[in-house]
Amino acid sequence: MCNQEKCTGCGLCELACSAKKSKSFDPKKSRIRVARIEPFIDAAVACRFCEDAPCVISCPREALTQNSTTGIISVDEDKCIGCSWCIEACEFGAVTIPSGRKIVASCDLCDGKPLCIELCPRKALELLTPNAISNKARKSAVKKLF
Amino acid sequence: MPTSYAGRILRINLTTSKVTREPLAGGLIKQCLGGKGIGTHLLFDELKPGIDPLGPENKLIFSTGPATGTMMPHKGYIVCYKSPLTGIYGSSSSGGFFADELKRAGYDVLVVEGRAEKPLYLWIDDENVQLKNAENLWGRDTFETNDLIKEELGDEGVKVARIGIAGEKLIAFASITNDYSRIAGRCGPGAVMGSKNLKAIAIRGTGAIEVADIDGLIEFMQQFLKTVKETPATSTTYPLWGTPGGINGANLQGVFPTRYWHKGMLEDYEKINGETIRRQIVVKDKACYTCPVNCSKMVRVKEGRYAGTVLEGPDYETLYSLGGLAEINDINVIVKGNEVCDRLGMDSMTAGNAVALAMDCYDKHILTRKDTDGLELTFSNKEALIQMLEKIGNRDGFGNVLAEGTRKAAKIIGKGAEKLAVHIKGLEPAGYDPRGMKGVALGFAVGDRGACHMTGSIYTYEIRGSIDRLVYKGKPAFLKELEDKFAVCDTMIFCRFLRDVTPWKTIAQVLPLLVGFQLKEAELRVIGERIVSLARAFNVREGMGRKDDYWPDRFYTDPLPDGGSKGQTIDRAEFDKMLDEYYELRGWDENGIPRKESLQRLGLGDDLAEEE
Repeated sequence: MCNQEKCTGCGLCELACSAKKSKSFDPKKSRIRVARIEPFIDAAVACRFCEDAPCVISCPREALTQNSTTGIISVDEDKCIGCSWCIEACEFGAVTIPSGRKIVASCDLCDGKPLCIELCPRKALELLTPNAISNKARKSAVKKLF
Repeated sequence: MPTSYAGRILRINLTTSKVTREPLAGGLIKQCLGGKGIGTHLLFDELKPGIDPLGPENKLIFSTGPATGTMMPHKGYIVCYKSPLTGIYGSSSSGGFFADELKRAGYDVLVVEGRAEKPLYLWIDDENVQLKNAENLWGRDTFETNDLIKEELGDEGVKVARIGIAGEKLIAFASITNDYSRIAGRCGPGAVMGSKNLKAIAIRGTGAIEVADIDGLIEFMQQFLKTVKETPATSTTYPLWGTPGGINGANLQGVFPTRYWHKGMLEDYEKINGETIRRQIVVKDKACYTCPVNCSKMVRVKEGRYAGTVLEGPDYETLYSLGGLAEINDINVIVKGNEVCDRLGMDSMTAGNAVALAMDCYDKHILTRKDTDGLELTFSNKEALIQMLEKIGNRDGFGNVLAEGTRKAAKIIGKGAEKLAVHIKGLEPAGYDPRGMKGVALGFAVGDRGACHMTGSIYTYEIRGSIDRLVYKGKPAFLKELEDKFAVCDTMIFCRFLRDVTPWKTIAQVLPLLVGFQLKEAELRVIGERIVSLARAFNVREGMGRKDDYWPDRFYTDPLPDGGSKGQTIDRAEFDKMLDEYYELRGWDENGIPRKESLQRLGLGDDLAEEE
C-alpha cells in the first residue's frame, strides 16, 4: 500500500523498479507508477493482488496466471501478444506495457524484497496483507480516541 | 560501456527555424561534466562580448547533468545566458521533472538562439522537433499556459517550461517555470525567452537512461539513502520545515533583512516561520524527481482576504523579500504576493526588493503618491505590496519603473534613491545581512551572477555556527573551497540541500557508476575552479573587476541598529583584505582579473587568456 499523505511524488520507486527489472531508468518500464494530480495529490500504485483477479480472467490467451498463495500475477511472455484486455480490466492501472516491448507486466514483489519499498525515502510504501491493513487502521482510529 | 550521457546537444535557431543535433564532445564532458560546467563553457565560447541580453545574439543554454534521468537524487536543469537584469553572466536552476524528460528525449543540452518573428512554442517529441504557433498562448499566465499546451498536445504527461506575462513584457527579472511551479528564478531568463518570442518548451521523452554500472548504483543508493536518513538537514530540517526552517536562526542572529535592509530582525517573525507555515497552511509535502528531501510544501491559505490561494512555497527567500523587507509578518499576504509573482512569472526576490526600495523612497519622501499611481506605498502596507507586484508584472504605471530591477529603478527615481538601492552588479542579494555575516559579505560580493547566495552558499555555515559569522579571518579560503565544491555539484546537478551528504568523496564514488570514467577528488576540484574562473572571465569580458565587488556604501557605514548583530558593519579595510586574499587564492590579479597562467593551469587555454 502507498500512504498518500506521506508520498511526495518523487518517483524513486519507479526508477528502483525500472533499474531492477529492466536494468535502465525509465518510469514507463516500472511496474509501480506514481499518479500525480496537481497540486495536492501524489500516490504510487501497483498490483493489489486481487482475488479472482480481473486481469487474469480477461486474458483470452491464458497468458496471465495467479499464484493462489501469494496472489502474484505472472505473465507467460510466449503467450502474451499485448492485446491489453488485462489493462482495460484492471481498475487500478497496475498492469502496464513497459515501453519497448509489447508484453504486459505487473508487480511480482521481487521475491518478497521489493526494492521500491526499500528505497522509498518517506517510508510511504509498505507491503501488507489485507488483515494487516485493517488491523493498522483499527489501531490508528482507536489511538485517536485516547 | 553504457553511460548516462545522451551524447547530444539539440540546437534550435528561432530566426531560421533550423534544428540541429550535435554530438556532445568528449573533451567538453571531461572538462566540464555537465550542468553549469557545460553551460558556462558554451556561453563563454558562443556569446560575443557586449551583446544586448534581449537581442537575438543572446542564447538560452539548458544543461542537464550526469545524474539526470537516473535514480541518483538530482536537481533539474541549469540554464545559462547573459542576464538582462545585470548585463553579466546569468545562470538559473530549477528542479522538477522537465530536465529528466529532456534527457529521455535524447539530449543532454538544449541551446535556443535567435529570435522568432511571432510567438512560438517549441515541441520536442523525442526526435520530432517542431516550432508551433503560440499566438493563442500570448498573454496567458504560467499556470494557464501549462494547462493549454498539455491540452493542445493531448498528453498531460508532457513537461512544459514556460514564461508568464512578465516574460512576454520583458520584465528584467522574469523567470522560467517548469512542471507545476518549479522556477528558474533569478537574473531574468524569462525575459530572454520573451525577447525571443518563445512562450514555452514542451517535451516528451520516451527513451530509457542507461548507466555504466547499474547494480553498483543500486548498491550505492541503498547506502546513500541511509546516510540521508542519518543526517539532520536531509532527514529532518528540510523535509519538515522546508527552507522556512531558517527564519528563526536568521532573526535570532539579527541578520534577517528587514525594512529594506535597515534592520536585522522582523517583529513577530514567528508569525511567518516554518512552524507557523506547517501548522496553518501546509497541505502536502512535495519532492522534485528522485529527491528524498522533499523541501517543497504545497500550501493553501485558509482564512482572510486571500483564502483559497494555492502555492508551492513560500521559501525562505520570499519570506525575506516580501515579508522582512516590506515589514509584513502576515503569512497569508506573503503567500498571496508569492503567488502573484509565480503566476505572472517573475522572481519574487528581486520583485520584493524593488517594491521595498520604493517603500523606503516613499518613507523618505523621495516618492509621493503622485509617483506611485495613488498607492500609499508605506512599509507594512499589505494591500499596496500585492497591488504593486501586479503592476510590476504587467508594466502598469509605476510598476513599469520597478520592472527594471533595483539598480535601474533607483536611477530612474533619482533624488538619492541610488544611495538606498541594495544590489551588487545589479543583482539584489539573498536574505542575509552581510554586516552580521562576514563570509556572506565576501561571498555575495564575488558571486558570479552578482549578490548571489548559490555560488558559495557560505550563509549556511555561518547561520549554523560551524564557522564564526563575525570573523573575517579564514573566510576567503573557506569560501573558495565551497565555491569549487558547489560548482561541481552544479555540474552533476546535485541540489544544495543535499550538501551535507554529497562530499567530494561521494561525488567521486558515484560518478563512475553513472558515466563509466573515474575522476579523482583533485581532478574534480580543478573542474570546480575552472568553472568559477570561467564565469569570472565572462564577467571581466563585460567590464567587471574589483570595483564591482563591493556592497553599497551604507553597509560599511550604517551599523545594524538592534538585534543579534547590533552595531555591526562591514569593516572596509578587513573587507579589502578578504578580497586580496580571495583573488590570490584564485590566481586572479589585484583587480580580480584571472591571470593568464591561472587560466592555462585550468586548461582554459591561450584563446581565453588573449580575450582579456
